Amino acid sequence: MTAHSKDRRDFLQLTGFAFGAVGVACAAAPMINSLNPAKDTLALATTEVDISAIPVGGSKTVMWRGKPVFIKHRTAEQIQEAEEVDVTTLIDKQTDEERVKKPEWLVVVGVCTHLGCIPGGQKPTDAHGEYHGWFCPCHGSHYDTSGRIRKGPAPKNLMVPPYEFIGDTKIKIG
Amino acid sequence: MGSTERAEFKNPVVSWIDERLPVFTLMQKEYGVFPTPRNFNYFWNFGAIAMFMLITMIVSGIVLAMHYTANTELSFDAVERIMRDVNGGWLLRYIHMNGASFFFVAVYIHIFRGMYYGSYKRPRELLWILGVAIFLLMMATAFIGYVLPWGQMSLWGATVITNLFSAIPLVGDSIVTLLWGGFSVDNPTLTRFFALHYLLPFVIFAVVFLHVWALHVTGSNNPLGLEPQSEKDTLPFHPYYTMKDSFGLVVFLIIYALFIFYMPNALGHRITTPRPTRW
Repeated sequence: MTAHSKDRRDFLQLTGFAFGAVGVACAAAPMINSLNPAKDTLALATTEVDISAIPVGGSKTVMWRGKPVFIKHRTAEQIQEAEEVDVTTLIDKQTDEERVKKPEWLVVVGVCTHLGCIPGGQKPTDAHGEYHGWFCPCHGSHYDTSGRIRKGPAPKNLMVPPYEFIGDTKIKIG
Repeated sequence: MGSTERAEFKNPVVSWIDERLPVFTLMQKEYGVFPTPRNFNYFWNFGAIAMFMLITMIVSGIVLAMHYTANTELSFDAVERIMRDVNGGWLLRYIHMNGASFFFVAVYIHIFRGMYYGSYKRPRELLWILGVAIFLLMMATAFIGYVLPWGQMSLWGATVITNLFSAIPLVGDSIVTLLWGGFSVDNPTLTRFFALHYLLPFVIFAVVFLHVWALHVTGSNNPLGLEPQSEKDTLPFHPYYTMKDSFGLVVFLIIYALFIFYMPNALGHRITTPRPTRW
């Protein structure tokens, strides 16, 4: 075999394999993509919530993507308490301003960032913990009026989901 | 098997594996250098095409099964969800349903080749018999698969075919009741059909393995019907028939793709006008 024909064969083999690999990838991609959330699952991914009925100081829980979301209509004291906290003393350092769009409305995912229980504090009769927000009964995490972790094993503040206001009476989560 | 010589491999990883389980020596012998008659025409391509279609059906079927539920209340809607909501679900379903038709087309041509060229004759009788077994398994699998979407044709096709067994004297009716799990084709029938539809393709795969093994013992037939007398009458399978089969496969896939993308329901049974059902 001459050097030329060997080079030619090498080239053909290489391009053959390359095209074959591309072909396999093209065939596999839709198969694997079919495992991603389907359109009906994604349709449940945004929820619109009417907040006009929540009085000042009141809270509402809605389901979003299979998880509870706490919507709290904060009182002036609760807002002040949240804003006055020294950020450097926090376990997960976030200011209140970073966590809200309008200060009187706090929207957080009601899943404890420790191991996933649902903290109590939505009802006035629930325990609110030492920081007047939420208290997780599973392992004793205390969250403040901005949903930030203040005491206990949880590493992070309650997650703020993506949301936006539609007018003054509705928010769209997700 | 332990005493056959192993092939030499430059890659140390390949060599390590082969020393302990000679899969690479096996592949080299059966698909690399295997002496194949040099006068094959394209009719000899269809066995390989059928193997490719079997794998396609298994892969598309398993992915589809991730979105399907076997229950008379839910099956039809599950298929509609696959068509509308699942990413690429329409493609998966059309691949699977047209794949069944094309699998049979490839197998029919493969069978007709065998009949025309006498590939069933001595010493290949068992090869042929195994092929018949594969064909029967394919028919069972396809019939059962058609029931799963739980459409009109699914129900009535299942009713007619299962009723055939009632023709058996004495025990016919009992057998049919046993098959149905009830007194008509209903949910118990559907759930057991789903289990069987998932199982049988792997049984087919095992029988195909035996079929190819039997072929490799005798070697292939060829258009002239004269057994190769010396090396001069054969070619190594790779690269000659790997390349020829790949080309033939691509042509087959183009026609398959034409159906999937431009006329996916052409081979189906569409009830276009209201018609009284078979009450």
